[in-house]
Amino acid sequence: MIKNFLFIGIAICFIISCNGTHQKGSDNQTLSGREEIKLNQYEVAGEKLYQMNCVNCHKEDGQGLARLIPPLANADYFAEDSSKLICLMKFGLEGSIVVNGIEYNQPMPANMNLTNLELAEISAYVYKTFQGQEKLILPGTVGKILSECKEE
Amino acid sequence: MKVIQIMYLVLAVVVLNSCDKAKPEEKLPILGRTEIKETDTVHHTIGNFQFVNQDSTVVTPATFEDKVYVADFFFTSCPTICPVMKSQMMRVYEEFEENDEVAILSHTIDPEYDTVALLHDYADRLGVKSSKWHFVTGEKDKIYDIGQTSYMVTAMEDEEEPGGFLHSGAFILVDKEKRIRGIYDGTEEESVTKLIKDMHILLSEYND
Repeated sequence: MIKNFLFIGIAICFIISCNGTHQKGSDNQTLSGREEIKLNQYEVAGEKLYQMNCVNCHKEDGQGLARLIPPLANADYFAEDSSKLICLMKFGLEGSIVVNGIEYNQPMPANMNLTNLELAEISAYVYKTFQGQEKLILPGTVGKILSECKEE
Repeated sequence: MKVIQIMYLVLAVVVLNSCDKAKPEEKLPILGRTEIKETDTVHHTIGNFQFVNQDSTVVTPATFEDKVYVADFFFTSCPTICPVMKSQMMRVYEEFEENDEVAILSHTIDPEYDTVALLHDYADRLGVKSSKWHFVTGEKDKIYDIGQTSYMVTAMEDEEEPGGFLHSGAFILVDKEKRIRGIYDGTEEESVTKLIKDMHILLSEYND
């Protein structure tokens, strides 16, 4: 009798651990352990890059400035579409843009010096900190996205 | 033996410190070159100027009659320090929003791009009243000149700089007599905290 319970108990343990703690991104990304680690590394590096390149305008808390500079926190603009964020960061933006229903029209300077890896890192930090999303975008993907950014 | 000596020293320091309290209220310094003319001390004052603000209203020293004001130099397309300066200046604006004795004067150092209409849009988006926070434009030479000779800060075109202009992020505190009473770093939160504190001290000088 006990042996049976033991067997069932162990089986249940296996089932639970095998389905264990998977993180899901918004596009149903299920990250493996290694990817988790990579994402964490990106987030840490991304924070430093954010401080150096973005915080002046978008602020520490990602709130932007009045109706001059759009927020990143809970911004609808790139919540679903990471390519919008990537293209913006690299190439900047001129002209009107609507974020969370408010219109902004202040040029954003380009950051041509940022490498694909750095863009991936900032993106990981921005999604985690200001959107509450775990989104791992690899440098290779960044490169593909950049080649397709719309010419303004 | 040594302990007693230290105690005396501490006592002396404490006594000296408490004597300090009897001093008259703190006053802000007057900055800039002063000239001694016979029996008069002539302080450096802000020179005459004539600029146009975001409402197309002409702005001159008379606009700030009976007011203290904070001046700075910026341009709307500035990628580096200006957003920080503006959000720090917002703190000054919000602190003294209800006080008619306080005004803010932001000069653009890129008058070619920063037209009156653009400045109006900018101020509007920032959400500030033009009667309190003037965004002015005018002749480039005159703006640079007043920046460097009156306000003693740097403002000039520089191809090497991102944005094309080199300018200091300084906030200059000017009193009712058009004298400079303080220069602060508009990009540093702590410096602007001091500016706000000094502003209160300056205002109380007039309300004694």
